[in-house]
Amino acid sequence: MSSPTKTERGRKSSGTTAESAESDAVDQLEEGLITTVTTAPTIQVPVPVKVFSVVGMDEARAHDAVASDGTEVDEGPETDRLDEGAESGGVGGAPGDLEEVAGFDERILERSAQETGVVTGEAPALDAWYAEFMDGNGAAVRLAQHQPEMVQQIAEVVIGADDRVRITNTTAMPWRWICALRITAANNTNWIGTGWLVGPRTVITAGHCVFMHNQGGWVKRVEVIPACNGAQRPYGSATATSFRSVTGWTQGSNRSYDYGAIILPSANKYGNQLGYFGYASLSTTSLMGLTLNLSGYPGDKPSGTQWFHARKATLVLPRSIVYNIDTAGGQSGAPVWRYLNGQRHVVGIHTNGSQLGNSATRIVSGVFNNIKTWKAQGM
Amino acid sequence: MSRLHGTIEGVVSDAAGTPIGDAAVMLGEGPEHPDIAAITSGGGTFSFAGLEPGEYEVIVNPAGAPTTRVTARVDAGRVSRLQIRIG
Repeated sequence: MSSPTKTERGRKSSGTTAESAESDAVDQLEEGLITTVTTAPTIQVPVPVKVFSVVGMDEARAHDAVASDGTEVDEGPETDRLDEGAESGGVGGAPGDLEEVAGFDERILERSAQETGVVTGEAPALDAWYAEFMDGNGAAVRLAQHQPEMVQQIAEVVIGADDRVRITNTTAMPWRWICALRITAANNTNWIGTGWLVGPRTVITAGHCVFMHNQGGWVKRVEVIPACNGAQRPYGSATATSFRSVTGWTQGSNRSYDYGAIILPSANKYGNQLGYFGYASLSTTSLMGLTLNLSGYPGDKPSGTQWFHARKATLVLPRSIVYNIDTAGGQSGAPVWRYLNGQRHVVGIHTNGSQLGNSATRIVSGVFNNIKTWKAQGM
Repeated sequence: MSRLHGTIEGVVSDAAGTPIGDAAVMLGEGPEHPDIAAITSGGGTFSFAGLEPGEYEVIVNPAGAPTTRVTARVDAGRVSRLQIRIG
């Protein structure tokens, strides 16, 4: 087990920020809040959408006002220092545990273990079988006829059969900390994403779930639905209009900075009721070989259903983690967490799909600090 | 639109050509892309912009209907338009 040098328990929210500039060679941990729901869950009805009431103020201007209060945080050169620290060695890694999920085939991890260990260099060789090419819907067949090289390329990198497992007991830990997101962009288009509770009113997600470069910038609103289970909303939902991200994403469109936060209305302190995840900035050494758990709300499954998968990382980069965990559109923002000794710490924020491996924004020290700040803003 | 990126946009409709709204549309296999899903408008429309050039799988999941997968090619500075009929 790695030895954390910084640990903060529960809802305590101050005192460690200044220390976070230390090398990424040591792990940073912030523990979540575990609550026990022993009675019938309280149903919280959605609160009215916050309306910016300034006459003539459009949504973009309104969000600018939010930004002036700290919406965007420039991480600056701190990231570079952390990247260097990440590659300079660190505390020895310890394999994390797999969440206990009925129906999940643990043999998947045995296979993925053989894919682990690549830090830099060429993309790992992956299993080369994909059922979709056999389903006869015509798409792949046409591809095979006209572009055989492309088919070959895809077939070499796509993970095997879809072995995601549906979470049916979404009111249990940690599933209830995971939220379905219904996003309304600035241009009124609608989107699906995922987020996770990190504090009483703070939900962490992908940057592109709160700031959409090709849809008008800051989104208008996000409906947050903890523990969503199909049509069931055991804890109701909250509609938020207060968002956070970093300039590396909002101005730079840099995938490495694709993360953000949703601050729920003051009446919706879901975290106090349900608990929330811890999070950690782990060294590269600690991340290698770790079992990564991921659960979220994919759009290719029945609407509003939560799905789980787990594997080990295939590639740990300075600001991202690459893995063959099965995901689909709608899982942007989902937590990628380590479950070790009964503790759950999110180490990455799922953001991207790719035939070369799905990936998360890695929680390095700069990300850690911003999550900590945003958590404090949602106390 | 960036000269380095392309767009996939389309309309989802049923066999009779009636637009299907509230269908989830997402990108599957292909170059790296945000793992977010679009919800079709009342007119059945959707759009993914800022995409790396390449071949993408487009997955459409309408409520109460089978999931459909098609492929679309994205070229830099171009818009790929899809007409996806379900059923």
